[in-house]
Amino acid sequence: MTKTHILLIGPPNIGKSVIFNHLTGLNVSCANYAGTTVEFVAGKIKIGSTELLLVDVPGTYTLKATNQAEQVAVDMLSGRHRTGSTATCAHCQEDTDVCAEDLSEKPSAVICVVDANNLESSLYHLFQVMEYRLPTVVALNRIDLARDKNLDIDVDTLSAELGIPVVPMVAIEKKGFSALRTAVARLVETPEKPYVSWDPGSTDLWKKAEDLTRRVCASGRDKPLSRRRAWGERLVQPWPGLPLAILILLLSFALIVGIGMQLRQLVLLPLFRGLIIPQIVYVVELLVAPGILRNILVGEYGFLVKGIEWPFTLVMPYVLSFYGVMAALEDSGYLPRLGVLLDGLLNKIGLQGSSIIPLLLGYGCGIPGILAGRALSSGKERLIIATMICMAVPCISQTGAFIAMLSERSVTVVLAVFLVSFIALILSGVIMDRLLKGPRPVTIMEIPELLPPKAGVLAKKIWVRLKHYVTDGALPMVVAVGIAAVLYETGIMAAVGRFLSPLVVHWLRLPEEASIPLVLGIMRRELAVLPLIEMDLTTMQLFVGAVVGLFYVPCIAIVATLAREFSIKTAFFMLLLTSTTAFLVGGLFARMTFLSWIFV
Amino acid sequence: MFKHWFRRCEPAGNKQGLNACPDECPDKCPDKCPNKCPDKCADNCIDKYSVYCPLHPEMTLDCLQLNQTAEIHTVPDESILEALGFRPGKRVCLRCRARFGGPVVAEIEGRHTALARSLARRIHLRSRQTPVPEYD
Repeated sequence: MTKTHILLIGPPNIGKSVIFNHLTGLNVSCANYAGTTVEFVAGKIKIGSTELLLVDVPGTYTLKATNQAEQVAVDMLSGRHRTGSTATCAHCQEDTDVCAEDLSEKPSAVICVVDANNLESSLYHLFQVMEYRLPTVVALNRIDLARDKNLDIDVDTLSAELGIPVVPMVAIEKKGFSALRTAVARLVETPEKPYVSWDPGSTDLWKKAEDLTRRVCASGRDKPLSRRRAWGERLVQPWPGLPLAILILLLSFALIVGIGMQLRQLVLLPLFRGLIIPQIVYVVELLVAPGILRNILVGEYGFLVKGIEWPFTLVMPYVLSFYGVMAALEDSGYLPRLGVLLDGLLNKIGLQGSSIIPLLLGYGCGIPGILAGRALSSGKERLIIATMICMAVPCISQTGAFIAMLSERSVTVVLAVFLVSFIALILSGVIMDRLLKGPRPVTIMEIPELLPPKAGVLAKKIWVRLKHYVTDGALPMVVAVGIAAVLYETGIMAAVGRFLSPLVVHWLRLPEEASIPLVLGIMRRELAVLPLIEMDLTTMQLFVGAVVGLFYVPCIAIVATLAREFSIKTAFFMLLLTSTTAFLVGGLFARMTFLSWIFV
Repeated sequence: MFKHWFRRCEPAGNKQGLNACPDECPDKCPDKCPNKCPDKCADNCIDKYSVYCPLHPEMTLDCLQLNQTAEIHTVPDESILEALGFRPGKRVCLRCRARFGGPVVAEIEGRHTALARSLARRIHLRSRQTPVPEYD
């Protein structure tokens, strides 16, 4: 990596990733809580006629290198980051042409993002950055929130006092970017190192930051608390926060299921079943003679029929509704508030309030959930979260599959599956907390401002998620169904079914063909459930199938993530733990015949 | 009734707010003031030493009444606390106590932070306090 690069650096949750996305045109994830960016990300930007690399560094409160994220920031500033160090570039796992794995040279400039809303601590961070004597420009973000607090910042004085350019911005509203580009262009053309008037190491930077803040801030007194900030406080108080939290969670769940079902019934199902799939079948039947090949393409498990119907009509609607609701919750800053409300309860299973975020992300897909665990303080917490996600949190694709499979039979059976999942979630947390050594976490969590989510940002987020789902979720599903079709038509599946029949038929009391989802489920989680729809099963059998699918092996991608984040041993252990639990619990439920009385 | 349950832990009836929640703020008052205050403590002693005086028991962040402000005296050595505004001399206001033994939420200069109670107990305050009006 020899290309010159610019660092984007600053405290957590002040809009670095928003600025990064706007400057590079990429779509890294942004949310209104600390610790969204857990890996650094690089993207190309064009300043004038030169192309540069912009690196979004995870946010840190200080540069004392006391934790992994701070170490990354310090290494980047001093040009010591090399291939193979603990932090990796998020892009290197994806196939993009931009990659900044080896940042072993000093950056040519630094954009230091400073939070106008919390100027003092941001200035402290800025002073630490300035001590590296790299050409620096300050992006003074969130001036709208400062004004809301009746704080007026004298930008010119601030710039003069610091001796570096300061650009006021409201990044989320796309304000201030042209000025920032101009300032960066000027800095790249004529690099000017900042003048450090103090003695690094022996000056009290906090005092310096306090003094400067006092000089540049004109605070109007006693502005009444805005409604937004008043609600921000109310939502974190036990009253009315707790009852509202229950209401908000129920509403979110209802919206995800409701919107998903409507999308499926009214839009996607008629579109695919009535229009697209018959056309495909018609064309294939014209072109391909009856036989194995035709069956593979459009037969019972034909991958042009089920391979299109399952991902696009059963799963996609829930992916859309889940990420819509989740994006609104993320951007509003509500999730940390929920974390505070539930912190006391989560403490009892060895977690802290902020771990609610990786858990909820896990309900979308386990991988971001496990990765978001990096923002947690201890390795023990990360492992507990990973176990909970692998064991008991169904990803949204699997949830969609559950609803598609069970809701037509009875509502109680859907509720029963989620109840089992919830109990397993608590139990796995409690057991892991007892098994793993390590101190209980101590909660220190900044509560972000409550902000109304912006429609444009939400729409973009949903669009990005949808694209991601089609490429990383739906296409592998089509391929997996294709493989299944081949195995089915060639008779291999029947042989596997006979081989697994003691387990499937005798222990789980399911028909022999129910071994198909067990094979497919290794590839993707929802495929451990979806094939059961096509079999003529009783409600009780569907319930057992769903429970086995819930606990069964997390998909291949999650196992790979576990191996990378923890170790191969952990991944293997999790594989063993989940599949054993799946068969054990499934078999036990299969014997509880009284349950069939409930599922009406 | 529900409102009462959710707010159960608000200390009531104690104007000083000291030792208001007996479960959370054990009486840590030693017999003698280690700062060698006279038995009848002069008022300026409170500001100067703030703690360990028989007449002015030790005050920690978790002992503040809701919406009451005080000045921070000492903070445990955690760089993240410093960055969130918990530094000696800053005025801190207790905004709420979460249920189920959860954290307290403290506000410093408009910035809200949730702190575990064990940590809040290690943040010592100077006794001078001024109540601020509750936002409603």
